Amino acid sequence: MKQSVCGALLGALAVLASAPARAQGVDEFGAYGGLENHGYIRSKQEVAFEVRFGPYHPNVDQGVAGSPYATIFGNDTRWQGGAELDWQIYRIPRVLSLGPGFGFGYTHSSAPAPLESGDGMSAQETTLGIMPMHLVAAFRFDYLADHTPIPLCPYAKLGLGYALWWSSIGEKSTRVDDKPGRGASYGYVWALGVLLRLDPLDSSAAANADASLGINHAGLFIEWFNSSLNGFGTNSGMEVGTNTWVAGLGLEI
Amino acid sequence: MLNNVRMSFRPRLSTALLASATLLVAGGAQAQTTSTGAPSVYLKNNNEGVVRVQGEAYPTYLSLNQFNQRNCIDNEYVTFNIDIRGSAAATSSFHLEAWIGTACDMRTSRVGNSASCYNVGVVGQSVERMEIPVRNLVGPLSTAGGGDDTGGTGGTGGTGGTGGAGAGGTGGTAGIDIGGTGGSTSLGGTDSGFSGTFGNGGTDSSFAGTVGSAGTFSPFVIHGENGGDSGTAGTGIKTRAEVAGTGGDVTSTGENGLDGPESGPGVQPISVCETTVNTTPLSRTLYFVLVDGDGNSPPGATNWFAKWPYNYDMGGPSAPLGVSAGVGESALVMKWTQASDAPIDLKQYIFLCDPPPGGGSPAEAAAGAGGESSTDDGTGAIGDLCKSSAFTEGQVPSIEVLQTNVCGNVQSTSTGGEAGPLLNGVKYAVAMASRDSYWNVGPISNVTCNTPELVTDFYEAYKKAGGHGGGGFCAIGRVKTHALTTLFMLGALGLILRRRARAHGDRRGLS
Repeated sequence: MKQSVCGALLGALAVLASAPARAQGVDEFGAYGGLENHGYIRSKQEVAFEVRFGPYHPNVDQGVAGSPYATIFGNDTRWQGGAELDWQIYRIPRVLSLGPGFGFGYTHSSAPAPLESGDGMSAQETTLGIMPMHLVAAFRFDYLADHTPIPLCPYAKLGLGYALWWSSIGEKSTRVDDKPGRGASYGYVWALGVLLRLDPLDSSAAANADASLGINHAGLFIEWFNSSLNGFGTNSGMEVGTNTWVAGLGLEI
Repeated sequence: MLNNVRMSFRPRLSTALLASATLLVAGGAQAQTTSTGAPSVYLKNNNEGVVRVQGEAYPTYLSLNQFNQRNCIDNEYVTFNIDIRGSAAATSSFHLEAWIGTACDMRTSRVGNSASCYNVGVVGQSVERMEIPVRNLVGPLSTAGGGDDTGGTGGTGGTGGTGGAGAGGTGGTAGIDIGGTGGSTSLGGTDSGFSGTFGNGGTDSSFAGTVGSAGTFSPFVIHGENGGDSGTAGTGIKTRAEVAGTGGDVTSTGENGLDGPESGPGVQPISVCETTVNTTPLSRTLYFVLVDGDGNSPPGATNWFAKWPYNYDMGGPSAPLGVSAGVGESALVMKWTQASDAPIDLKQYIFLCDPPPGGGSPAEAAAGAGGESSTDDGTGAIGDLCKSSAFTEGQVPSIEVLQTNVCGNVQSTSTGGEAGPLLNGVKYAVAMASRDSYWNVGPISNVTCNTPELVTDFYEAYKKAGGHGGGGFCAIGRVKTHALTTLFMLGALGLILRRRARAHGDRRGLS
C-alpha cells in the first residue's frame, strides 16, 4: 500500500516536472505563464478547506472482552466521508502556516443481527453510526512548494477528538437495561500528511481561480490519521477512534 | 428635464384615474342590475356551501371535493346549500336542478339526443338545499330518457348483475326482467315531469318493477338501470338491506368484503363504487342551474348557474408483489416489489397482522393461534397453510380489518419495512395492501407467516463484552465539561496568536 502511494506521488512529480515551458508575462487579465507563481498576483490566504475520504474501522473491540464489533459487522472495510476547515491564523507567507482546524466525518456499519437462540441470522439490521469530530492545531510547511520545483506541502495536526455514536436494531434505537444505545467518546487525534499542489499543472487556470474565486492553491492530499477516543485512557466510553489513511482534495483560500 | 417629465405625466395620470373611476361606476351599476333584476345562483365552496359527512371512513384530510370508494360504498349524501338571489317575482317561476357532465350550462347539453349531461337532482321552487348521493356523482354519465317535453322512450333496463355464489344468479335474472319492463312501459308519456313533481312522480315505481326512464326532465332517469341493481349484489359488493326482487346473495362468500346500504330510488347502484371503475383520480363538474319548467334559464341573467368541480377515485391500488416476512425482534421484516400497474397516486403500503398487534401470546402460538391452523391440529403449524381468519389474498380489507389488524405502514417509495410491534414467540400471518391519496385501500397481497424472535444487536453484544459506553449523548456530562473547556482554551489561544501576528505586521508596516 505504502509503495503504491509513493509510486503515485513520484509519478505526479514526474508529470509536473515535465510540464512544457510557456511564454511568461502579465497582461490586463493578470499574470500568466508561471509568473503568477512568483507572487505577482496573490489574494490573501486565510483558510484551508479539505474534503476528506477514507476507510474507517473503529477500534471498538479494544478495551472490551471479546470482539463485539468484528462479530457483528465482520471485517469488511467501512468508509467515511467528511470535511475539515483550518483557520491559518499565524502565517509566514510562502513558508508556513499554523492555526486551529475543525473537522468532522460520518461512517456507518450495518449487518443482519444474529438470533439470540444462535440458530442463524435474523432479517433485522443492526447498525452503528459514528460522527467523529476533531479540533486540532494544523501546521503546514509551504516552503518546498513555494521555493523549489517540488510541489509538496507536508503538514501535521494534533488535537482533541470527539465522536457521537448511535446504534439501532431494525427501525428502532437499541436499549440495554433501559439505557439508549448512543453516546459520546473523546480523546486525542493526530495526523501526518502531505498535500500535492495541482497549480503547476495549469498555472494560468490557478491564477484565474485565485483572481476570481480567491483560491490560492488546490491540491490532493493523503494523510495518516490516528484517533484514540477512549477518554484519555479512562475507557469511559466506546472506543470509536481509528487508525487509518485519509485522502481528499484540499483548497487554500 | 425631470420636471418636464413630471409635468407631462400629471395630465396622463389624471386621465387614467378618471377612466378608472368611470369603469368602476359602470361596473357597480351592472352589479346592481344583477342583484335586483335577473335572479342569480351562488354556491360557497366551503363547509357552509357543501356539507360532507365526516366519520371514521372519511379521513379528515380528504378534501371537500374529493370522493373515495368508501364514500360511495357507504352511500354518503352531500348536502349543497345554494344561494338563490333575486326578488321573489324574479325567481318565482324557476327552480334548481343539478347536472353533471360537460357544458351543462348549455341547454342543448341537458336535453335532446345530443345531451352530454346527466341530471342528479331537482328541487322545487324557492328550495335552496339539495342532497345528492355520492353514487350519482361518481356513476356513469347516462342520457337514457328521451324527447323534449313530451317524454321519450323509457330507459333501458340495466343488466342484471352476476350472481355471487348461490342465489346470485337469480338476482341477475331479476335485473333483466325489471329493466325490460321499464323500457316497455316508457314512462315518458305519463310522467308528470316538471308540471307537478319534477319528475319524481308519475309511475316511478322503480324497484317495484315498472321502471324505465321517465320524461326528459326526470331527475331519476337512472331508474331504468336500477333493475340491474336489483340483481347485482353478487358482483362482489353486497348490500346491507334485502334487495328488491330476488336480488343477489347478500351473504356470498365470494364478495370482496365491502358492504354498504342499498341504493334508494333515483340512486345509482352500489356497483358504481367497484374498484374496477377507476383506480386513478378523475375530475367532473357539478352544475347547479336555475331554470323554468321548460329548462330555460332566466332571461337576461348571467349568474343563473354555479359550478362545483370535484374529483373521485373508486379504486385502491394493486397489491405489492412477492411479499415476504423475515424474522425480527418484536417485528417481522417485510420486503416486496411494487406492482407494475401501481397508479400514480399510490400513497403508502400498510401491513396487516393476524393476530393483531398486541394480541396473541406465546402460549396461544403454541396452541396454533393466528391462522387457520389454529383450527387444524393445535400444533402451531401455521406455516404449513399460512392463512388468516381475518383477511384473505385478493380481498379488499374491510373497515374492521383496517381498524384492528394494521401493524404498520410505509411510504410508497419503500420496498421494505417492519410490521409491529409484535410479540416474540407468537406466529403471525402478515400481508400488505396499498393505499392511494384518496385513502382507498386496494386488495390484499399474498399472506405469509413467521414468528418474531429475540436477536442480539450490536449494542447488546458490546455491553455483554463489558463495554461502558452508551446511555445517551449527554451521559458523560463531567467529561463533556472538560472537553468544552479544552476547546475554549484552544480558541482563546488562536485569538491571542492572531492578535500578536497583526500587531507584529502593523509594527513592520510602520517601520
